[in-house]
Amino acid sequence: MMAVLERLKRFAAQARAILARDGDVADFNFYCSACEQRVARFNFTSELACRGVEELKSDATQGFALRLVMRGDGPQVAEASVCGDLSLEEVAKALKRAKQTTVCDRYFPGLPAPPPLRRPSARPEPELLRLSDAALAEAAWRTVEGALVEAARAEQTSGKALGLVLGGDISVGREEMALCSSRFEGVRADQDARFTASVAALVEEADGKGTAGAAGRSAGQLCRVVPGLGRTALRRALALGRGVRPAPGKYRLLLGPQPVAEILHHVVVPSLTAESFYAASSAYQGRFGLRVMDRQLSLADEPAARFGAIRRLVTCEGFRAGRTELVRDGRLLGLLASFQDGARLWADEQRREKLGRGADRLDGLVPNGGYRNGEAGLRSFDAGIGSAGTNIVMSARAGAVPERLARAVRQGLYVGRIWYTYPINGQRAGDFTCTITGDSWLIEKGRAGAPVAPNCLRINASAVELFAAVVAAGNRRHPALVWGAPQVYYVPELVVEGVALSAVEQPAAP
Amino acid sequence: MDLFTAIDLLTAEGGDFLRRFVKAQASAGECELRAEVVVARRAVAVNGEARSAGETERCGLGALARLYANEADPSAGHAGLEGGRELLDRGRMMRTVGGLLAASWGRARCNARGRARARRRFGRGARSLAGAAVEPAPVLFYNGKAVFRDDPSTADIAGLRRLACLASGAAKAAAPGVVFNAVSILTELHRELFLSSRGSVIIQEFAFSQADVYVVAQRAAGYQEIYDTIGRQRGMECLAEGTTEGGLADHPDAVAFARALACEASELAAAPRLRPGDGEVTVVTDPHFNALLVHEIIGHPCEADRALKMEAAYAGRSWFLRSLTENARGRQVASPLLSACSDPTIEGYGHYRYDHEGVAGRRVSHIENGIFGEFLNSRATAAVLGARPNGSARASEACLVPLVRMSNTFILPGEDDPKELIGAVDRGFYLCGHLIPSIAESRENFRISARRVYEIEHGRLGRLWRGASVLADSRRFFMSIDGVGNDLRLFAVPNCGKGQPMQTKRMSNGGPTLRARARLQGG
Repeated sequence: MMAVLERLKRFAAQARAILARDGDVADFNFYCSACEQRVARFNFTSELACRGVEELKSDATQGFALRLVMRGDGPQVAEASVCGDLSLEEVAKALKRAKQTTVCDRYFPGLPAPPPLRRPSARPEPELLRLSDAALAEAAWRTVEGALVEAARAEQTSGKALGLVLGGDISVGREEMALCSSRFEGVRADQDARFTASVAALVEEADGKGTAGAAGRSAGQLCRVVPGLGRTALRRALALGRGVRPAPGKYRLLLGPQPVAEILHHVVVPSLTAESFYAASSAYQGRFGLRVMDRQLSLADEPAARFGAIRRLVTCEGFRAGRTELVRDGRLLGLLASFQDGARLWADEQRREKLGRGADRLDGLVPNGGYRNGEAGLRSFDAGIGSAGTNIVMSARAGAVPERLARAVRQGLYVGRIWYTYPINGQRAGDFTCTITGDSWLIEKGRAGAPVAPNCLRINASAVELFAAVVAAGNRRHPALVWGAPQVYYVPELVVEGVALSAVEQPAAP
Repeated sequence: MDLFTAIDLLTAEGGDFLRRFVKAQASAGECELRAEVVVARRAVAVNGEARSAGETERCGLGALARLYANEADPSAGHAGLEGGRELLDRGRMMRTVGGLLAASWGRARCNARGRARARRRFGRGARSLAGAAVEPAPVLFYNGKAVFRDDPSTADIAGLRRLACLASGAAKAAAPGVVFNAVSILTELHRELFLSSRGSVIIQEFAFSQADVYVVAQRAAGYQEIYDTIGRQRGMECLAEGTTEGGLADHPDAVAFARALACEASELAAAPRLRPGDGEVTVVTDPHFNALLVHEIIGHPCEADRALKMEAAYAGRSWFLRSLTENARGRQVASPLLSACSDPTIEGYGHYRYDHEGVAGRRVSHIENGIFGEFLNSRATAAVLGARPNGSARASEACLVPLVRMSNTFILPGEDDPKELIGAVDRGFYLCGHLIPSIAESRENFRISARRVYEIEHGRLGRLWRGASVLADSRRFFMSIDGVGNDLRLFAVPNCGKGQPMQTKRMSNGGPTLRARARLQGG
């Protein structure tokens, strides 16, 4: 049986012939993809009947999309997509249907004409593509069992039932895509597979919560690393039980990797896209080229990073998936941009006002970020091309070792996990709020102190101000996952100044 | 042949196929098969000009196997896919269904092995792995049709494009300072099939038409973004003409809606940001604000999977349940003036007759006169709670696993005239329209931002402010309610996210005007 990627490549080449023959079509883009996600969800609750691992499940889809520029006056653009049926008959029908959906888009910048790729685009099939259901189930159950071993030990020591809640999942995603265009030769293709695993353990008897996570690209890594996550999360929860409830006020915080990633994902990165500047909704409106973060910090998207859980070589517009420098030494120097979004912004009469004077030195935006990300963050033929990242990497100049970070805080909090982090007053305002939900403790005299009870403090802050008020940063990048995010984050720990925390009232017994 | 024929094909042959499949297996078990054909048409306009238009169709399939491997409580497996016209070929359809059933059964077996091993190895430490039964569903036959005047599956795309351009153009010209707007118009027809190996055959059809409007306004004083939606289980007629049937979910036409939103954004961009004090104040919240309040603080925590801590790693637990013995059932959680329910049987964006486990949807009373009542549940969570299934397990697509979901979830109306609720306030704030929520882990605390905030002084509305949110502990806020309006409204919610993989579901939420005490937080 032909490998999926080869089938997609052959199909794209055949579709190209059909589209090129059509006399009404001046230019075309043809994109086909197949993707699948398999998920094993943990659900162990020691005091409530449960399944340990919920149903192993999967969702797969394939299809194609075409975009046409029609001959005639003005830029007449047409689109169609087809789910499932990768047949030439459906290509012909889609072509006919697309012609009925033509819109005249005055600002359409044309289809992209990416330069030739210097090396073959598709890589060998990753082993994770072949991971069996049995292996996935085994990894999931071993994760649960790891936590149960730890729980048995802790219960034996304390003589008390823990009230253990273990949740999370292992998700394995694979994506294959091929595209061709009248604007470049041949077929460009790419494939990838990755896993993410996150585990949250709650010890309700002591109100402790700990988490652990991993992301990677190999089945070996999955089978080796993931089963230990249940044990790790529970150990953290046990260590952080019976926490204190600090008074509300302004604090110096040491933000762990997950909070840094969460704030970047929900508040900062959406403001660093060409789309958001075009829509006048970026929190960094008018600040291109200016300092937007502390000078220690740099931020980039690295789709080909060796350490990255995501590896993409070709964008969904056919460009080489290169590194996009977003912020260097605190200055805003780049945006995540698809060709379409970047070109629209560049042609915008209000470009200077939207981007700022710093953009005058640029010739345009590099179209490194044009992806069709579906809901699972996998490449999907029926998703529109948006400006998105892959492996978002924050690095710090002269980063410090963890002990020095705690010393830089002196009196404050280590915040290891936050959630429900949203730009509460809209994206452009840059304000956000969230609650601290676990993995957190006091820092007293520069050392780790008492654990902080999960869910007793709410952060109310501005992301723009927060990243500008960095006192110190860690010297290591840690991977961090954000629920539902198409990107994986690699970020240092950050010490930030003067963050306002309000109290969450301890809930009365129901 | 249209793609809806795939449902006919499966209706005719799928039931027997399922029963034969289950019979052929060595272990006892049951299977469910869901299929859904969606035909969707959409158009997008930006700043008054057409940006894109198109149509899609797809056929989703999902198979769920429950395997009773020497246990009363089953292990489950699932497999789903999205396909298209290739599934109109009978042979290909049945081969695909057979593949999904085999995959789901195989996964259930893998899972059963893991569970049996964990129970053997941990004994008492894994005792909760026994007893996770699934409440049975009755065998049902139903065939229901969608309600619409203009068939979404044959809607004229040029018409959608025209409406999107008109609405976007109206927003652009509506008021000074509107620097960007985007309007998306869509209309969809869904036909769903539920088959169980026990014999149920349920066909339901839904029409959805929806307009999403995003506006950014910039004035000398500041800027304001607003995003909002109107939608109805109808054809395009509801967007082109609006609905004035006197129902709870009436809305204006798409052009008037976009224009009003743009005017509001422009007015707000010129308004100052509120810098409130620290203490609690009297707040009167309007139905649109309360739609988000009920969604986040009553609806989600009433989902039994969340209450039973199955969502603990994602969207948290519920302030209504700590354990089976320590929970809110039968206890006071709000002022006696407050009642709230979910009701899929009434008209709204969350209307349906049967859920995706083959159980009839019914009205579920969450809070009655301040006393907590019932959770929304699935067949599995009902069994754990010792409750009857109430038909609340739904997936956003047939290829995905059903989760416990809200339907039309709202606060019931009271007897107060909203004007009198404001009129009786000596000093306070009137909050209109919701923007964005943030909630604590068990939803026992929240911060929800409002679009418009008016000062109330001596019973009269004063100055308009922007950038403020209500910050409160949930029970304290609900207990402080001293007035409930008689002006219940329902609003379409197009994008409620839940689960892993994330499922985005449509529903409606709403309520009447409320008066309570809370802190306000500025921007």
